[in-house]
Amino acid sequence: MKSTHDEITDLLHGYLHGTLAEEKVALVEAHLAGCDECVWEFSVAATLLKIETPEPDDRYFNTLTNVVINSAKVTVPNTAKATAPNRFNLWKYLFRPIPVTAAASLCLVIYLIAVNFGGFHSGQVQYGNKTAKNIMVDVSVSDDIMNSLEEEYGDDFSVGYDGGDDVAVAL
Amino acid sequence: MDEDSRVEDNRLIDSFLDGGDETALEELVIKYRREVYLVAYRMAGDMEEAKDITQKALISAVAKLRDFKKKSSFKTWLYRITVNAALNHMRGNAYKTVELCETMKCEDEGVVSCLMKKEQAQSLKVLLTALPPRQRLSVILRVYEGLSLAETATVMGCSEGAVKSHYHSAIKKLKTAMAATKTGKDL
Repeated sequence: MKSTHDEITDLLHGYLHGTLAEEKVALVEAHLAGCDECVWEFSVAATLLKIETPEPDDRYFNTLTNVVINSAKVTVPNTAKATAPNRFNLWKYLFRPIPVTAAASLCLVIYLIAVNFGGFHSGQVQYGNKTAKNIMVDVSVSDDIMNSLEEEYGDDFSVGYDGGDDVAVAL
Repeated sequence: MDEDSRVEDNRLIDSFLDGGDETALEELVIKYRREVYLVAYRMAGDMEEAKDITQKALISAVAKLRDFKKKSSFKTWLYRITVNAALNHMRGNAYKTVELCETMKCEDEGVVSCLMKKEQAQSLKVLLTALPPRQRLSVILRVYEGLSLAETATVMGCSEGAVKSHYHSAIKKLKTAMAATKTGKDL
């Protein structure tokens, strides 16, 4: 009987708010029919529930929410780190682009080496059955040079001249 | 429904604590801010006091969120913090007597009946505010918040037996006040 009384008291709130299932309502009403103590208790509770409580406006609640969230940035350390406002970050602005810059610089150095020391301009020239390497000669073009080349290599050479100072001789 | 709510609360807490998701925290605060205020108001009996208590309770709850072990529901845990905040606040303010500015719902009743009930409710409300804090708390949690005996015991940090004792003492006093009002009217 004692436990039933406690169970009924636990159902008080739901009964007064009309949120109980039908069988629970029947259980409560059956108990109330024979228990004056519970009738009084329910009566007191029902009267208390009829009193409206003054509430602040939405502005108060919105401000409250912001205050609580801002306080969390200070009082919950790890979360503060994750949600901290953007601050100046030396790593982000100075060191993070370094790999990209380094890669670009390396490419540039390789290109310059290839151009200046690797004979980037020259290529393989097929002459009959022979493959000869181009030779870049920085000379003033004159008949003397042509004659000397003919003397030295006979017919086994060709000369490419693009109008500039370079003459390409292929063997 | 309660279980769904509990699971959802735990998800929001994890989302905030592990992922730093502020919107999860915001959702949680929005969900419970009014309920915390109502408990605070019913404890303090004054809107301004209740606002202070609500803010203290929510800030304190968020600061201690990592200590929430999920053994009870978040709501029960939050109520416990609110109740402690209210008791500390009231202790600090040396229990001020406050003017209760409350109205009463009179939906489909006559004017005389409504006035009688209003007077009855007013006297009950005054008496509720004058009850010892733990008795008042047991009524607030049981009647207004609809917590079970076990949940009320968790929030109040005492045994179920102690809750029953506080609650029945409070109801007895309120019942006496109601009976006195009725008798006065009959005379």
